Amino acid sequence: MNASSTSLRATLPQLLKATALAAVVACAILITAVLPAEYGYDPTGIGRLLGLTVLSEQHEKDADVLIPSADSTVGHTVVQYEVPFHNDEKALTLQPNEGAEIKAVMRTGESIVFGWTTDGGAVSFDMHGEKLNASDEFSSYWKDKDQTSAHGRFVAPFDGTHGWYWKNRGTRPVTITVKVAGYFEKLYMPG
Amino acid sequence: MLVSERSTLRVVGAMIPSIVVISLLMLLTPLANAHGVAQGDQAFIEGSSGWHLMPYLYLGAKHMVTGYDHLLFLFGVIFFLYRLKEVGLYVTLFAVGHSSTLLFGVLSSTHVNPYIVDAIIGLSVVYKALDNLGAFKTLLGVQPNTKIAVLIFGLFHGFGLATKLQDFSLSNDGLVPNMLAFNVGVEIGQLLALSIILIAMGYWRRTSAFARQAFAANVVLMSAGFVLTGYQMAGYVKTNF
Repeated sequence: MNASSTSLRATLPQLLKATALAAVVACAILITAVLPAEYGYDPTGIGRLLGLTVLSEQHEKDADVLIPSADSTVGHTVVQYEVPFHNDEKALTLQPNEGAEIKAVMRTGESIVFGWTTDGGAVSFDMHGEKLNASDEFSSYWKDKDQTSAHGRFVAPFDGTHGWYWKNRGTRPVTITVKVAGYFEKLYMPG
Repeated sequence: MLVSERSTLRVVGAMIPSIVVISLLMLLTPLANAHGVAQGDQAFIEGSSGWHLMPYLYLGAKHMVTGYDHLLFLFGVIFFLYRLKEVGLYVTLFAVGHSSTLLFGVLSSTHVNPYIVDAIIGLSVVYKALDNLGAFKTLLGVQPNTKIAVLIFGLFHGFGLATKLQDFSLSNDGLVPNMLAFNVGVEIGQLLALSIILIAMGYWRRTSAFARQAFAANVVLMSAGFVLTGYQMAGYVKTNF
């Protein structure tokens, strides 16, 4: 074990020069590429010239869709829909350790208000959506454990099926009733 | 004047092969993601409960093979290790370090800020590059114990691994076996990545240019460490201020 014979031994001026060079190159890469692409911070404008800022804009857009902020309604006081308004209600019963889904078919931008409640027992749930023709990929919107109800408004971030997966982790059967109103094609239980 | 210009040119010229090697490392990992597990995998982790040994094993291995922060550090550690026995010793120390904090972090629910810990991981790359350049012998007059250093930085890398798993609100059901499977996967991924690095280093060391390029390679490595640190610090500033 003789590390010193194989490693380098830079002199102090060499070290200072090497470290300064490494730091300057790192700063240049950070300021012109990494920060514009990752965080949209582009003080030199080079990131925009290179077309890198679109990456961070995409991040922000995704975040906006999934977590609509109060501000996003400004200028969207009225949103018109092609699909007629309707409401629907479905119920299902889960045995202990059983899980099942109810989904709505929705297109990008269509919205619903929804609420589900159980007949007493607590369930865990994952509100999520799949793109049309997606194999196993899905996006989770809202997950929680030990709940007896959940209510909200939902805007579809993409064309596909959006809805809930519930799992009964208790010891007794639980019946869940879900009500949906708004703009969606149909509410169904995936086979 | 002329001499210094020529030597600058030579340093820049010598950097090119090492840039190629480091870029190759990164190209091996087209999905490389220094700060997490891919989205589809996240959906799996969150949707699951109970025992899922093989998926977690795979995720651990994938995280290591595609985690360029860990790969760059390993690259620095083995840079001047010629004997397989030494490589084994240092990599074991690294594994002991990161496994302890991975297990401790997840089990005790210790939440460290992922940006801070990833910035420290970036600094571990800088440290190792400086160490390879002989900086500590020159500056301090002594060589800090390289084995202790790799163990300590291993501890930080483990906290980094723990934050990745904790991002996913793991189900308590099957937590310990799943986490152990993830840990085993990390070691498998490390061995896979290491063998690729060792093969590439083996060819490189046999070229006569290696001695000349070794200096430049560690400057490039240090720069990559600074980039990782800056990237994570910017993320910390953005999320906290």
